[in-house]
Amino acid sequence: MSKQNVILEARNIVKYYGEQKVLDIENFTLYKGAFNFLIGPNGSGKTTFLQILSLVDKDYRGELYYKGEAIDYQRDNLLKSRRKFSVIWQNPYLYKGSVSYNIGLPLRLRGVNKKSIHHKVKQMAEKLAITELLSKRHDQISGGEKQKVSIARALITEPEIIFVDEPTNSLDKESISFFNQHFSELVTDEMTVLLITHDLTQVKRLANHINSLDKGKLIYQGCPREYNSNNFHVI
Amino acid sequence: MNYLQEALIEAFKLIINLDRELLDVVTTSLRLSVTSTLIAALPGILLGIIISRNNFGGKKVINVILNTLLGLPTVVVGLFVYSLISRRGPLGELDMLFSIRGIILGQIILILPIIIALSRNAIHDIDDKMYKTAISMGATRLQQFKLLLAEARYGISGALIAAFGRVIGEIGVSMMLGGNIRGVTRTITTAMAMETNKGRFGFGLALGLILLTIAFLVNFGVYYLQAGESSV
Amino acid sequence: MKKGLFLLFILTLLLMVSVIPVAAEERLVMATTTSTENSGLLAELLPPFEEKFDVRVDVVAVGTGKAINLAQNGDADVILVHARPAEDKFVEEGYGVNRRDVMFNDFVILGPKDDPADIAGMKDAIAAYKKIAESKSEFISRGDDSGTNKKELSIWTKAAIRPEGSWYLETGQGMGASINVANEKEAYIMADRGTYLAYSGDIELEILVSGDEILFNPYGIIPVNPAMYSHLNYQMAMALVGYITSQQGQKIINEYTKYGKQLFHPSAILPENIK
Repeated sequence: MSKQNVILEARNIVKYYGEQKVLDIENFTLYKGAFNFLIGPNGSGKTTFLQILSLVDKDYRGELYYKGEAIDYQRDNLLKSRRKFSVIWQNPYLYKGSVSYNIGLPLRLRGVNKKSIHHKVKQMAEKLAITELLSKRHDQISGGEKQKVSIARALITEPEIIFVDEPTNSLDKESISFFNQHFSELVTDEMTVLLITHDLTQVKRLANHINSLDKGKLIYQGCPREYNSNNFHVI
Repeated sequence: MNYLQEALIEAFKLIINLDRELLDVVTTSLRLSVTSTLIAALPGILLGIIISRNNFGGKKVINVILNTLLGLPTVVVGLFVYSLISRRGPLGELDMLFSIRGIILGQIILILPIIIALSRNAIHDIDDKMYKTAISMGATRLQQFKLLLAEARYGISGALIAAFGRVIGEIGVSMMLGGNIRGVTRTITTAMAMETNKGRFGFGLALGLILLTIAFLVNFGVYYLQAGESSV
Repeated sequence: MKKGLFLLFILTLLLMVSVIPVAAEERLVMATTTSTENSGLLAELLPPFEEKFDVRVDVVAVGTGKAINLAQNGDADVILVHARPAEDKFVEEGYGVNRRDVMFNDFVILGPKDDPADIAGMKDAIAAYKKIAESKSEFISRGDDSGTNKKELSIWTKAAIRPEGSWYLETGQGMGASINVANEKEAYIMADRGTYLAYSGDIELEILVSGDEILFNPYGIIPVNPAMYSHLNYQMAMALVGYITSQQGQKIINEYTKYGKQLFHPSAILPENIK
C-alpha cells in the first residue's frame, strides 16, 4: 500500500478507564476510498477506538495523523478536521424536533443557508426513501427509521471519513437487509468508511480491509482474502 | 350557611368590575414573581448545569444541601433575610426592609435551590449520546452548549414555572419582608390573609380565584409549548 | 418560527409587567397592629397627611409585640399601638420618645347564646372572667403577644387566676381567625369591637359583657428615638404625631364609622372640644 492511499493513521494509542488499560494500539491505518472494517468480540475496545479516531474522545495518549498531519487538540484546525468526519452511532440520538431538522442539523452547525439546507435534506431523504418521515417528530418514528435518519444526517455533509458503529445491531430484519443492500450505494468513491460490525454478510460483501481487535490490541490487519476464515469465530 | 355562594358572588363582582384594590394587589404579585423568577433564572440554570456536568469534590454534599433547601419553609427564609436587612442587620444600610426589593431578595433565595435542582435534573436526564453526537456533527463548544439547552428546554422551563408557582403562592417571605403595605408590597397572598382576618371572605375568595386562574394559565402555557414542539 | 414569536411575545409581556417603578418619594414607616389596620380607619386618616406633607406612610400591620420589636430594631419610624404597659417600657428603655394618647376603643366579651358560665349582662369583666374559669367553660385566647392578648392576660392576673387547663385554648392567630374558632367551638372570647362588628353577620356569638372601664383600649402613638438610629425619619414621625393629635386628625377619628357604628373615640382632644 502506498502512502497516498492512507487518510488516517494512529500510533501508540493507549487508553485507560481508571486503572485499567483498555486500548493499546501501536499502529493503525485507515485506507482512503475503501471500506475498512473493525471487528472483534464484545468488549475488545472497538467503540472506544472509533471514538478516538473520529475525534469525539480526546482523553487518550498517542498520536493521530490526518492526511499525514498530526492532530493537535490545542489548535483551532481541529474543528475543520472534525467537520470532515461523520459518525453513525449504534442506537442513534435524535434531537428534539422534526426529522428534517435532524437531518439538516450538521449543515446548520456549519452555517449553511436555510434554502440550500432544505434542498439537500429533500435530496438526501429521497435517496433513503424516507421523504414521508420528514415532517414527523423525533419521537414518532421506529428504530429502523431512526437509523435511516441518522445515516442521512451523517451523509448530508459529504464527509471524507464516515465512521459506523454496529449500524444494524438492534434493528429488525427488514432494516438490516435495507442497510446491507443500499449503504454501499450511498457511499461515494471519495468517502472512506470505517465500519464496526458483527455481521459476516457485511464483511464478506463490503470489506476491503479488515482490522481485528482483541482485548484492546490489534491482532490482525490486512485483506479479507488473507484473513483466515477460521478467524471469523472471534467476531 | 351560604357563605360560599355569597362570597363567590362578591368575588365575581369584584373581578368583573376590575376593582382597583384587587388589580393593585394582583399586579404587585405578578410583578414580584416575574422579577424574582427572571433574576434567579440565569444563575440558577447555570449552577444547575455546572453541578450536573462536572465532577468535583463535595458534589454529594452540595446535592444533599440542595435537596434539603427545596422544601425550605418560607418563614425560615423570611426570618433569615429579615435578620440580614433589618436596620440591625449587616445589610441594614440598604433600606430594603418593607419594600419590593426586600421581597424580591427573599423570593430569589427561596427559589434559587428549586431552579438549580430542577435544571440539574433536566440536564442529568439527557442521554450521554447527545454530547457525542453533537461533537461528531462538528458542533463548536458554543453550539454544543446551545444544543444542550435546546434539548433540556422543557425541563428548564418546567424549573422556572415551578419557581414562579412557588413565589406567587408563598406568603411567609412577602409578609415578613414586605409588611403587607397597602399599594406597595401587598400581594395576593398577604391580602388574602388580611381580608380573611377582617371577615371579607368575598375579597379573599376573589383573590383565591385569581391565583387559581394564574396557575391554570401558566400550566396551559406549558402544555401549549409542549404541544407546539412538532412545529419546530 | 410561530413558536419563537409566541415566546418572544410572552417574554416582553412579562418584562413589561415586571418593570419596577422607581419612586423617589419620602417614606415614613409606621408599625401598627392588625386590628388598627383592619378597622379601615388608617385609609381615611393618613391620605390627608400624606398629601399635606408629601410623604408616603407605609403601614406595617403586625401584633403589638412585633410592632414594638420592629421599632426597637430601627425598622419602623413610629408606632401606633394599644398596650400601655409595653408602651411605657418602650419609652423608659429609651427606644421611644414623645408618646401621645390618640384614641380608644373597647373590648367586648363574646359568648354563645346558652351562656354556660352565666355572664350575660354583667358589668364587671374581672368577675365574668372568674365565672368562666370556675365553670371551666371553653375560652379562646389569641396567645400571640398582641395588644388584645396582653389585655386579656392582664384581666386574668387581676382576677388572680392562672388560665390553664383543657378549657383554655390558645390559637396563636389573629383576631378574626380566633373569633371563628370560638364560634365553631361555642366558646367565650374577648375581642375588639371593630373586628367583632366585621364578623357579626357571620357568627352565632353575641356580646355578653361590655362597658367595663377595664375593657377600654387606649391607643398611643410613639416616634422612635432619633438618638438610637441615625436613619430614622423623626421629623416626619413628629409631624404625624402632630397631625393625628390635631383638630383635623381627631375629627376624622371621631367621625369614622363602620357598619353604622363609631369605632374609635378620640382622646387627644375631648370630643366636645373638636370643631
